Amino acid sequence: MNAQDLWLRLRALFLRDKVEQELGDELDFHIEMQTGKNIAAGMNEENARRHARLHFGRPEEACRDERRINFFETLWQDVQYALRGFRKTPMFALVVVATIAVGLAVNTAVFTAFNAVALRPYDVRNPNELYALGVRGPHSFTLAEYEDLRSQQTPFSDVIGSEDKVYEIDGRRGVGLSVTGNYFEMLGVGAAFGRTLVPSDAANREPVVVLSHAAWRTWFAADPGILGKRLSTPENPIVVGVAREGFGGLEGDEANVIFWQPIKIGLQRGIDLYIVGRLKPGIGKAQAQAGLSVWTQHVAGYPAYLRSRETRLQFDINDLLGMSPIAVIFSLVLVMACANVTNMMLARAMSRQREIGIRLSLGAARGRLIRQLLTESTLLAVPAALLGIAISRVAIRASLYVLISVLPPEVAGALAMFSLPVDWRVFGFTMAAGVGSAILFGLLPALQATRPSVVQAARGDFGNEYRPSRLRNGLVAFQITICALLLIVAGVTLRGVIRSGSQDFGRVHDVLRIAVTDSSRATVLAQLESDPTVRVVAAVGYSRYVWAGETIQVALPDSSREYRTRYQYTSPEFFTGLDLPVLQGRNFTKEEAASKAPVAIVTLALAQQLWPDGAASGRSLRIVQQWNTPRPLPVSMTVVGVVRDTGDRLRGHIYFPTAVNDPGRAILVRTPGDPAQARRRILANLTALDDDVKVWSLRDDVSTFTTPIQIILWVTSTLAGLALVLTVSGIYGVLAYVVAQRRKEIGIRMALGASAGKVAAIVMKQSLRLAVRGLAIAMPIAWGIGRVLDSMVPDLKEMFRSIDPVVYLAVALAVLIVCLAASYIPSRRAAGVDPALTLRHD
Amino acid sequence: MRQDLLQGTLDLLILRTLQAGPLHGWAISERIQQISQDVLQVNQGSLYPALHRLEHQAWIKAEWGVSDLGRRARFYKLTAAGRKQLELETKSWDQLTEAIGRIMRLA
Repeated sequence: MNAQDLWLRLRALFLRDKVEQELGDELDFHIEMQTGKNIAAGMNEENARRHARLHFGRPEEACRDERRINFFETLWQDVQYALRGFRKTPMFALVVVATIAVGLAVNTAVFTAFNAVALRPYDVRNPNELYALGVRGPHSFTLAEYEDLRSQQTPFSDVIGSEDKVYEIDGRRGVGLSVTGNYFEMLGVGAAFGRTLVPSDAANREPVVVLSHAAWRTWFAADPGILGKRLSTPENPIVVGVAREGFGGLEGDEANVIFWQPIKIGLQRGIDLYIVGRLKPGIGKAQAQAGLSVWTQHVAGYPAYLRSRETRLQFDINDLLGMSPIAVIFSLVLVMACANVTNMMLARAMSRQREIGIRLSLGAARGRLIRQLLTESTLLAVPAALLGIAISRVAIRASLYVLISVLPPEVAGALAMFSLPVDWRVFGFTMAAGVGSAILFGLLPALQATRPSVVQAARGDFGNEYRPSRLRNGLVAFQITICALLLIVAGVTLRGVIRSGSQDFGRVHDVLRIAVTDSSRATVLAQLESDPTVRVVAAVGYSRYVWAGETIQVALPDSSREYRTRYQYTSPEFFTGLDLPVLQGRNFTKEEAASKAPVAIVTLALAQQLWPDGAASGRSLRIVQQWNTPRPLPVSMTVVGVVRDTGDRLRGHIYFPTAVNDPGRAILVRTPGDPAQARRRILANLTALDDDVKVWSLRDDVSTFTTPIQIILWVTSTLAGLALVLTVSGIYGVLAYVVAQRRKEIGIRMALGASAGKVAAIVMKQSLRLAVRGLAIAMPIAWGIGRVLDSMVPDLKEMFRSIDPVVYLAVALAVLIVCLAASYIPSRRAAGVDPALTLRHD
Repeated sequence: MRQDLLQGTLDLLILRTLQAGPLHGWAISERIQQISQDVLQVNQGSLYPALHRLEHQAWIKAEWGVSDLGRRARFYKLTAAGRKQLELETKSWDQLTEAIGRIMRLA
């Protein structure tokens, strides 16, 4: 493109009338000259002029093409035309925009979350070069090893180390990170104000911290005078700065991070460092892994293993495939919204039949008309996308608010600081989805409206092959199918939640779980036993949830068949303290607990799997030794007792004996009153003895275990609810349109003696027919998906029964009722047709 | 005998015709017809689009002027870039015709 070309194009675009006028003048001049020539050749004037025109043809359109702005010109015309149309039917435009916006909002909200964890890179310098270092085996890096790594020649240009620890400040819990001096410099993260940490801070006598921006805002109410104040953690450090907004480290729990402090031997443990290195330019991951393995083999005995720290979650293709069912469920709502709009557009296209027919018979190209109709849909989709983003913001806010108020405080606190921003990716996604749905809901009506037979239709000649209602009914049946599927998902989840609500966890409401470091175990136990309000009841293995312990494989001594079950170490007091009576056999004895005898207690579910004859106690059991089998477990065990089913009923639990003063065990205590208050009080008492002590309430443990299912229920119910609303409006729309269209026919029927009830029944029957069609497709699909899911993720069966006749029946009933209800108003309208009026109408 | 123009040769003929000086569309078509002794007939349906195309390529420039009969007409004139293009196309045209001629004589 050259300057003259650009000038001509701009001129053609903006001085359209003038350019057209010039073209007309130029061509007129030519005809004038030709006429003159013809006259000179002996024709009379009239004949000469006619001849000149005849031979001239119509070069205007070709000349316009040469301007190469036709695309924009046509677009501009189409946009203006569409806007004029919307102005005439504003309700139509509004309903379309709102429907699509809701469908887009649901998907945008999900994408926003996905974007925040998996797509948005960490806001640090060149995050693509950052890799977390691990080894393929159990090993934690010490500070000394970190120093050694830094002094070696490795594929890393620089390495940072950090260690996290949970702190409680004014009753709120968050993560404090102890980091190496080069941490901020290496990541290229500055301070919002004050300063960041520097290597010399570790040598300072005075302990210092840098607050995270999020913590400064939410925990310290954005106090502008925070610098120089001291935190109430055991070290009592001075705040020297607040880190740049949006930075929360890249250790994985950035939403929780309150502060960074320099790592110092003596004060922090320095025994479990999270190591992140920056790869030297030009070195690939595989090459770096090989290079680092030399070092890790030396210090840890295992090869090195690198994980990118560019984004919060590193997705591989399998993770994405695993997530795809979620994406499908959400996009179904958008597809339903599109189906609704398609039906509305079809109805609108029908009423524009005459206009389009005339344009076609006047020679408008079909492609040109389709393009115009698609422009119209896109024009509706763009505001829908913007509205969708706005709705998703509100929905995210609202659901976070609800989540925070129901979740246990420690999880809720992290959520409160988690940011889900709209960036260009979210914007782009929603816009693309919007335009995609415009094509989805616009193309079918556009093709339908411009098919060649429309020309006949414009003359009032409806041929036999002309069946617009088939398409519309098909769309509604399709909607009912999706709606039924979503209802089944919601129903299955609901049943799962009911089942999990009645799930037995034993006595949890007044039990606290205390984790102590082994060096202070004795003093802590003494303190607890001297407290009159507290009763030490048991010890359990140190795992996050008592009921969601690790799994191991067990087998009968003479059989190769292995059973996967959850295991837990428990002291004898566990079963009495948590109200879990021994149903068969006996409890562990004190001696067995102290000597870690090869005995076990199993839950009823596991006992029935292993010994269907019912007698479990006294039988022996083989522990399948694997790399992850805890070391002290003997190969052969004797089952001494069977207890009630709690926790995981599918896999069952197996309990091994332990004692309260065994190292590495958490202590369970019972204490009356509100567990949250009791937790704070005990934490305050024990922190003086062990500054690393942690206290949880079992009630919170259980609710963190059950809340995810609760959340799934809310999400699926919301989606099913939306689907239901869309279906109702879809059915209503189609029936109302059909009644309006068949007004004359209904009038004739009534004039011939059909009763109002019979006429209403016609409409209702049509609605039911659609419902049955939709259900007939949905049920086998749901059954098939359920079968596949069951075989793919057998774990799900524990909570969700995907093929649940009760749910299927309830959904079928609900869909039929809803379809009948949606046909109520249209059928009343049909019954109200006055034959005298309609028959006289044309 | 009337001949349809070979694809792409119209542009060359227009540029060549304009070498002598500015002309309007009608004059261009007349000039081509005359000089070719009525063998080449320029179809208006392709002449005007071609003129607009050449204008967009900045090989010619249009100006409004007054015709011999005192009427307002659009005159086209060769630009510097157009002159260069004409030289190029003339050369390749000569090569082409010579090559075809040789084949017709010798093949």
